[in-house]
Parts: sequence; structure tokens; C-alpha cells
Amino acid sequence: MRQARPAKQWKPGQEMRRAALLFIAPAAILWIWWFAYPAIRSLILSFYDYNYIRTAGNQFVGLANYAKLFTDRTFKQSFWHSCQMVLVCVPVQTCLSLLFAVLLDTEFRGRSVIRTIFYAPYVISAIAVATVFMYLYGQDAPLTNLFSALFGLENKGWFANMKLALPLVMIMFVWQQTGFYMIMYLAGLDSIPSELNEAAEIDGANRLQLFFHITRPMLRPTTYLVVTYGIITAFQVFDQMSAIAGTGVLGSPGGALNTMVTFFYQNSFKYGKVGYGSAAVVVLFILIFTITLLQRMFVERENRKGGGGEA
Amino acid sequence: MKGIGFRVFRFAVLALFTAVFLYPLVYAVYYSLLPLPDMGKIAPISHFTLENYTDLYNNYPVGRWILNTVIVTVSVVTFSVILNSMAGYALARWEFPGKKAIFAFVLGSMMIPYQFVITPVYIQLAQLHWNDRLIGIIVPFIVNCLYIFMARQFFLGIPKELEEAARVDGLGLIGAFFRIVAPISTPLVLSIIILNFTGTWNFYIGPATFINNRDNYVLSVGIKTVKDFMYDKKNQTLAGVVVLSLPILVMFTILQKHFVEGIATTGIKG
Repeated sequence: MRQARPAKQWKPGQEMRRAALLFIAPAAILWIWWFAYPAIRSLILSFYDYNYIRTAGNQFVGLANYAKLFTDRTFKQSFWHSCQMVLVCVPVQTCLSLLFAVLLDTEFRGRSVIRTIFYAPYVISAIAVATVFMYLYGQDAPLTNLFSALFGLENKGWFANMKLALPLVMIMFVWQQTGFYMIMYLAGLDSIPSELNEAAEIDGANRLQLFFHITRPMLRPTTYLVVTYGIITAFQVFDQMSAIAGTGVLGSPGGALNTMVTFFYQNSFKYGKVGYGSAAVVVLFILIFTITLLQRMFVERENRKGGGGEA
Repeated sequence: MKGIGFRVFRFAVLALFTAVFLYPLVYAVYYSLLPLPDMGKIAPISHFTLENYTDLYNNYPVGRWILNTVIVTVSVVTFSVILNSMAGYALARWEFPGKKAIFAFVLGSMMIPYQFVITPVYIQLAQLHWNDRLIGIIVPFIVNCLYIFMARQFFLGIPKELEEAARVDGLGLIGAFFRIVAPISTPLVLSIIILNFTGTWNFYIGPATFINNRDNYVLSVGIKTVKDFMYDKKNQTLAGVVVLSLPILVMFTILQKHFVEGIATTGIKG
């Protein structure tokens, strides 16, 4: 019995292929059915003047949808708002989460409670967060009053204010996301061998030198992930816009919250312009893909120049 | 660690941000427990009442929404843990034709925003008459390439000798997975459960797009409509916010110890 069953000839390759088929097939079928095929269809739709409100006349229009996008003022506005989300939120949340992780890395009383509190916003629904923040930044609400006292801002609901609606979304987004990246940085800090820090301390390095010459380069793979994931998520913000718009037009107030995703959604699901909406979301994908690729190339070049760990 | 300056700095930063992170949570719970005349005021705890919660329950099918959310979340998470781990295990351990291509697809999918596929998914659901039904927000969301990737990374970190010993004991490849590897995969399973549970519980764009009948709403969509129609009844809306958030906060607090460990072993840290 224990002699590896000599009677039955064991064919490792064949058994492995069968087992692999059995293990991969369920996931693969669902993936093709509900992801790969829809993705290809989405791409194809973007070349059609497809409108499901109208019954006839869905025809191939080549790149016409894309050409139209780049002359559409609403799309340009949406594109710019999405970029603002990324350009403001990603640096802020990356720096804050790194700061929190470094401060919470050493043992002290209350550390795990604080870590839980910082992470808690991330597990809550964006709808819940947006609702609470709408109350906090409403007219005469506590934080509206605080900021108007500090910076002389108008005492008016931020979500109803064309100028302050996007900053409000940025605030709630960063408030919610930072804890997650803090956890990633904490895991990254855990993987730095403590001998490195000890050796540097013996050499007389102070805390800041330690951070900039040991910790920061060693955390480069984590930073790569935090930034990549941050960019992708910031481009995709949607729930907050939907909550703020309420029963009104998505992107309210007055288009101040139009982003590439709300633009796509509004066209595909509210105006029935599926082809046009699909083109917008293809552009979003290309944008995310290009940025991820460029970043990857940049990191690899840095590594070849002799940086810290690999990404 | 020494350095009094560092400690003061640490205390100041952490105290400030603890307040920043706690304030909105406390605010929501506090006003969800107070009657309407007390809104915007500092009211004593003696004013606390659960009336907002019972009103919410009587005015909206919140019970149904909770049930729907639980059904959807439990179904998605159960199948997701099993199917994604199996796929990740095959990619980590076995040699078979097409393995490299499949892994490339897994990585590539992680870069595609979900909005990219939502329109064709909606069309497919409508063709199957799955729109407006819970199955339509379960089946399409079971496979997630992030979890396949996490599983692969986790299984790569387990010594091969374990399964080799199992083979000597006469177990097949599949038997070795279920009897030997699966029982020691708790960190992976818990990480997938935490990420997928929160993701599914809070998922909004899918259910908001695919479900129209109010009785079939999940909590995220339901509470959003409560907010839309009852914005002036702040206490009742905030009660809805608490109902939507509390279960997930409790689950997270119970499992959070394993979560940090999970992130470290499943490779989402890079």
C-alpha cells in the first residue's frame, strides 16, 4: 500500500493535465462567459452606432465614436476631472499611508486599536461614506462651518457647490482609501530585515537618514503597488458621484462631478448610446493600461540602475 | 525605540488622525439614535432612541434588503473562495499546456476596470432573464482574477514536500489538495473572505444597474434610495447608513488580526 501502487502504472503528466483541467475549468468558464466575452463585445460595440432605445439602424461606424469623443466638451471635462482625482488623491494617500505605517510599525500601547480605526473606513460602503460626508459638509454643517471659518469658504453645502463638489469627493475618497494602503505598507515594512536598520544605527544613522536610505528604497515594490492600485481606483470612482447626484443627473451639480466613468454610464445606461459610451470606457482602459505599463518600465529602469528590491 | 521628539510627533499625528477617522463614524451612529428636533445639536444620551431604526424598517423593505445582501454575499464568497483557490493552485503547482497564457490572462484582467464589461454583461443578463434577479448579481461576480493571483502566490510559498509526502501515502493530486493543502490555507481563505465579503457587501454599480425592483435591492442600493428620498430626515437616513456599515465593521474587527498576516503571505504587497 505504501509502495506507491506499483501495479497501476503512474503517468504523472497525464494525471496532472486532468487535475489541472478539473481545477481550472470552472473558473475559466465563468471568466470567459462573464468577463472575456463581454470585454470583446464592449470593444466591438465601441465601433458601432449602437443605441438600444432606437430599434433599427445600428451600424458599423469605425472610429467615428472616438473622433466624436475628442470634440465633445463634456467628455473633455470628464477626462480632466478624472485626471484631477488621480493627480490629487494618489500622492496624498500614498504619503499619508506611508507616514501612518512608519508610525505604527513599532510596538506601543494602543497600536492595534489605532490600526483598526485607520483601516475601518476602507471596509465601509462608499454609499454610506458619501451620505455621512454630505451631512458633514452640508449647509451650516460642522465641517462646512469649520472650513469657512478657516479659509473663508462660502457657508453652502459642498456637494451643491460647483467649485467644492470635486474636492469633497477627493476628501471622502482619501479618507476611505488611506487605511488600505497603510496595511500594504505595514506588510512591506515587516519584510525589511531588521539587521539592516540595526547595522545602520550602529553606523550612527539617525531616524530620518534611516528612513530615506534604508526604508524608502526597500519599500519600492510596495510603493509601486500602492501607486498603481491607487491610480486604477481613483480613475474608477463612481459610487460617490452617484450618491451625490441622488435622483438628479449623474455628474451633478452641473457637471462638476462628471468623470470618465460617469460619462460612460450616463451615455450607455441613461441616453441609450451604448456604442458611444463603450468608446469612452475603452479610452479609460487604454489610459489605465498605458500608465501601468509606463510605470512598470520606469520601475524596471530604476532597478537596473541598482535600486532596492524588485517590483 | 528612543527619541522623545519622535514620540511626541507620533502621538500628535496619530491623535489628530484618530479624530479625523473616528469623527464621521461617531457622528453617524450618534445622530442615528436621536429624534429629529435634536439634529445638529449636542443632545444628552438620555434622548437616545431606536425609533429611527424601527421607522426605517416600517417605511422600507429593509429586512428584505438585508436578506438579499446576505444571500448574495454568502453565495459569491463561498464559490469565489473555492473556485479561485483551485485555479490558483493549479497555476502554482501543475504543469499543463496553456498555463503561461492563462496566467497572462489573469494578470491582464486585473488591469481592466469593471465598467469595461458592464454593458455587455447587462445585455447577457437580460437575454437570460437574469436581470432583476439575485442570480444576476451572483454568478457574474464569482471569478475574480485578483483572488486567483493571490492564491497562486500563496501556494507557491508552501513547500512542495508536503504534497510529495501525501503522494507517498497514496493520495492523488486532487486528494492531496483537499486533504493536505486546503486545511493549512487559512491565511489565504481569510484574506479572500475579508476582501470579497466587503467588496460584495458594498458593491453598488452592479446591483444599481441590474436590479430595478425595490424588493430585490441589496442594502447599498436600498440605503442610497433612502438617502435620496429622506435626505431631510437625517436621523433615519443615518440609521440606514449604520445598518449598511455595522455588519461589515463587526466582521472586520473579528477577522482583522488575520488580515495583516494574509496580506503578507498572499503577495498583494508585491
